[in-house]
Amino acid sequence: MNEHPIIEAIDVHKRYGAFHALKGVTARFYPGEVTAILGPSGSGKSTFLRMLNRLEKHDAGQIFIDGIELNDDPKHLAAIRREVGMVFQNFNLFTHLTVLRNVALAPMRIRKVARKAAETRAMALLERVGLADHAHKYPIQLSGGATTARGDCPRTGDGPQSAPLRRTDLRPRPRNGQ
Amino acid sequence: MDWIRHHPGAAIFTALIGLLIFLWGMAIPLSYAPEPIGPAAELFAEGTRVTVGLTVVSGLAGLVLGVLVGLGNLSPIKPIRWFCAFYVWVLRGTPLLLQILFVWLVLPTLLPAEWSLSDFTLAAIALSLNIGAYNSECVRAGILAVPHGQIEAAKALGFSPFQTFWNIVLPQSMRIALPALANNLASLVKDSSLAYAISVVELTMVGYRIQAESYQPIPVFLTVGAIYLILTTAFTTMTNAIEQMLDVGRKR
Repeated sequence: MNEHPIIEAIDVHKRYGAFHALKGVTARFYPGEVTAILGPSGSGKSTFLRMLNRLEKHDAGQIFIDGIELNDDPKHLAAIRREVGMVFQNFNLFTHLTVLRNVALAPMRIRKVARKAAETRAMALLERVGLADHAHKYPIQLSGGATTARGDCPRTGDGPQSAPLRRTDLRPRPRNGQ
Repeated sequence: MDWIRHHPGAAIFTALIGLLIFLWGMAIPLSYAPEPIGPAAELFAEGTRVTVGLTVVSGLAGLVLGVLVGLGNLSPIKPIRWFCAFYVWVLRGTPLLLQILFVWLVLPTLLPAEWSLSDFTLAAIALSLNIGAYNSECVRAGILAVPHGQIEAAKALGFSPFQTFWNIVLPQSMRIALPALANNLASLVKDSSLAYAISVVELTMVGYRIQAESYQPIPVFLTVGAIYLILTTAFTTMTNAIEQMLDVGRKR
């Protein structure tokens, strides 16, 4: 394959005190791939995913997202977090905002999209996942399935390059040439 | 009350207008009351305006102070944390009356002579400092109660620490802190009466003077008590309504 990996982990280690959670993980994920990471509870799946946008810091090794090294450099971090989506195990929808505002907030604040444009785009995305009727509800008023769909929305919706990460799947998309 | 829950905006408006009409026009009906209330109606009205003035000024200043100190107590910078913890320790650990007397007697000696702050201002400063300490703990509790996942979600979306605080943590924490802050405001309405000690002529002081002249403490203090009840009712109606407005996303 000629393409560069969109996500590259090289000999990544993570320790929680004496517990060695990740022991030298090396993996490459290419644009367009759908990857499932499987393993028993406590095997480090979530730790690895959380590391990909630095909700956890790795102790050794290197991680590159689309060629940008993941480290403490705030510019790198901002560039990566802007593009990498993440769906949390329990979604973490913002409880004080409606579904529509949940989807529109990040484009407004991170990409400086005007509120009207962001909400129009958010509404289109909600229609696509069949949630238009719920747009003005608050997260607590949603059913379980609707919650998951909303969790995906801002991540798939921020732009063509976003890479939604679920607990068990990883769906990076190509950035180059777009 | 159901009406407040369903129409919080209208409730705030009604309570505010009601309070203003009461402050402006209470002397008119009061002047028809029998001795010793009627002849002193204007004094009661003036004292009530001073009490509300002290409450509103110190309530607002104390809210700002409470947010700042509450945040300072959670600051990663140790000296800021120490300073804020010291402030809360002192202001919560000493009597309010002592604080009012201290500010009244000591602050003017520390400031340039030409500033000459009024007794009202000095009382407001002391009350603000006091309620600010109590408010800061409510704000701190509110911030700590925001689930960590909310902060992680904001981080994962690429929010800066300030954006995370401003868009996510602050609105959610204020919603949690509001009932406790409202509690402090209700206390403040009544604690402002301690300003009588530094000769601020507020409602309690007015009542004390009138009963001293008329030797009729029962009608005078019943009137004073009723006015305080009207004030706290107006203030708590407003805070309850604000609570309802911010409660979005918590009730099904």
